[in-house]
Amino acid sequence: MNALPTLLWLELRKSQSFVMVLAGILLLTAVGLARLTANALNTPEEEAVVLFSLAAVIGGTLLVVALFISARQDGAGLLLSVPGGLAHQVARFVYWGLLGAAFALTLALLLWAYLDRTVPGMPGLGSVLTFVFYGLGLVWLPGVAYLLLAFSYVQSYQLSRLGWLAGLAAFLGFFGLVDVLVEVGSKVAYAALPPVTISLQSLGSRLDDIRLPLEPLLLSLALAAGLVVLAGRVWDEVEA
Amino acid sequence: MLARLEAVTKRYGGREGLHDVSLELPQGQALGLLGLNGAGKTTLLKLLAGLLVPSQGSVEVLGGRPRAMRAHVAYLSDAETYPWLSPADGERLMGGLYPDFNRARYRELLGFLEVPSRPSRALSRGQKARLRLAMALAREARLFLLDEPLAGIDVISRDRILKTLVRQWREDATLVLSTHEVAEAEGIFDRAVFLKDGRVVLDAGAEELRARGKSVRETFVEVLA
Amino acid sequence: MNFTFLNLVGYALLAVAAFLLWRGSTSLSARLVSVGFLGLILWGTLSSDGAAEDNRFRGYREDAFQISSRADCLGCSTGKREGVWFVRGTVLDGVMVLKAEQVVAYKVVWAGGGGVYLDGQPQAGGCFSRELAPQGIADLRFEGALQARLEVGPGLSCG
Repeated sequence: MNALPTLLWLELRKSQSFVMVLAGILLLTAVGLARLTANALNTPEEEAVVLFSLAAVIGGTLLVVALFISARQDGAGLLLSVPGGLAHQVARFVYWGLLGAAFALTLALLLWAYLDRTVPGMPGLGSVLTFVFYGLGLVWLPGVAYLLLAFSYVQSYQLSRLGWLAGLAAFLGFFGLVDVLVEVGSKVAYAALPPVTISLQSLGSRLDDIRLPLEPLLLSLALAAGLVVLAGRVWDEVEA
Repeated sequence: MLARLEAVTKRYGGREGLHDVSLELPQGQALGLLGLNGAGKTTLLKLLAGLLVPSQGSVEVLGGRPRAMRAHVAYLSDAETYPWLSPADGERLMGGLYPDFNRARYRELLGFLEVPSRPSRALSRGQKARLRLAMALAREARLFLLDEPLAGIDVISRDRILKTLVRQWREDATLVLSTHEVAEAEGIFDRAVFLKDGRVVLDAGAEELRARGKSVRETFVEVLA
Repeated sequence: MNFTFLNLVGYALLAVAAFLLWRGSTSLSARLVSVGFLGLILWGTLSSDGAAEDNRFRGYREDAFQISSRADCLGCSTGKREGVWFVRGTVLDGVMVLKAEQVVAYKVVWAGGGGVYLDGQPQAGGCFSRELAPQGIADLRFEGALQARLEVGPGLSCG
């Protein structure tokens, strides 16, 4: 039995209202970009970037909150379903990974479409999408995996009423993990693989090309996969 | 033997939810689990379902670890379901997650239990309980563990539902149903297990209960007082 | 590892948390995750203890040249190999001033990031080299340059 379609559908049903809010944020951003005008303090391009940043921060926060609320809705109800913990966590990972990616890509597309009309020599859409995909792989996917693990982990301490301590450990451990990732990632960056180069030459000679190292990206993706597997194991062992 | 608990103790921190309980559940039996609130009924059902791990002793379902046998165990908890879940959503969800879910039987049960086609948030407490009951009973599982499945349903309907369900109980499956409404257990179950403070105080078959010459309610008051 | 009073309290709290979390779940995976999280917290505590010293390059001096620096240098290492002195960091950010006492050549190499400025002028291409006459000064500004390296010694070029 392939439970993935059902589990993806379940995630969608649980988060439907959040998806509508995210779509609303994108719509407001699009309307906002269409109405930008020059003023004495900022150029329209600067305002566009501010609007984009605001939408990204609000949307990103909302996605994390939505993931948390969605996972809480399940309670212990799904723990005894026939698909194992890994199937559940993979479905959640795929759904939230894709939802975050769709939001980020649409937002980036809106900003690019605006700047492409107003900034001479704006890099092509391919460069922008490369940059967004890189960010998603480096930050969003391991972030989702970490949240999934943290949620099941905290759930496994509910019975002993130590969920608060487990939550605190997961929260503080996150910063340690980021430290480790930065440390290891910076050591292996550019070491073995050719970097992904995003050319900014069209914008003028003032800016150097962006060379994104592939090693930290692969490290993040491997970490995300490991965290999802671990989250599946914890799910299978949770008492409720 | 379909399931077995052997000298099972379950501790929550310093408190004991269940103490040294041994039970054997044969195939085809409808067992009533009776006790006051906090007697350990839910703990016992969760141990059989594999949602809890015993602190001492062992639990076996169909010859294996309970959690590993979840494909054959239908567990109905007393927890709320998703607020957006309608009977149609229930079919989609259960059909996708449980290979033994019988859609035709589910629709029959929805009719029998008179569940309206509305999202759960628009249903009364009793209607929600009926929807959850239909979802659980539509499975072709070997062991059904129902935790207070009739809570919130009016007294007349409870009686009708319980009698119909237990009398038509399949011979290849075992039912364990917990309740603290003892009156409804009268003359229905093949066997009744009375729990008090996490201990089994009486484990009696229907014949034995009848031989005592008292109603289930009177026995309940006598053994649990 | 530091043993100030506050650190000792922190380590004691971590030990108590480890004990409680190990006993608080029947899931072996959750217990191991607890160990992992607490290990990460310990790592974070220990690495932040030494972070202030590790991340700053404070300069260098020898007969032929001197470098004064107020640059942050993450993953920093310095040394001298075959007569060429170098400082390199995974991330270099800040200002370094190279002053020559004798004729010296220098080279700056970087892989990406925010770029490098020489005497206020942005440099492109990921590498440049120059020669300084006695008393000559090079004002180098690194703007979060990644995998960056400054080398000073004889006969340096980007070729």
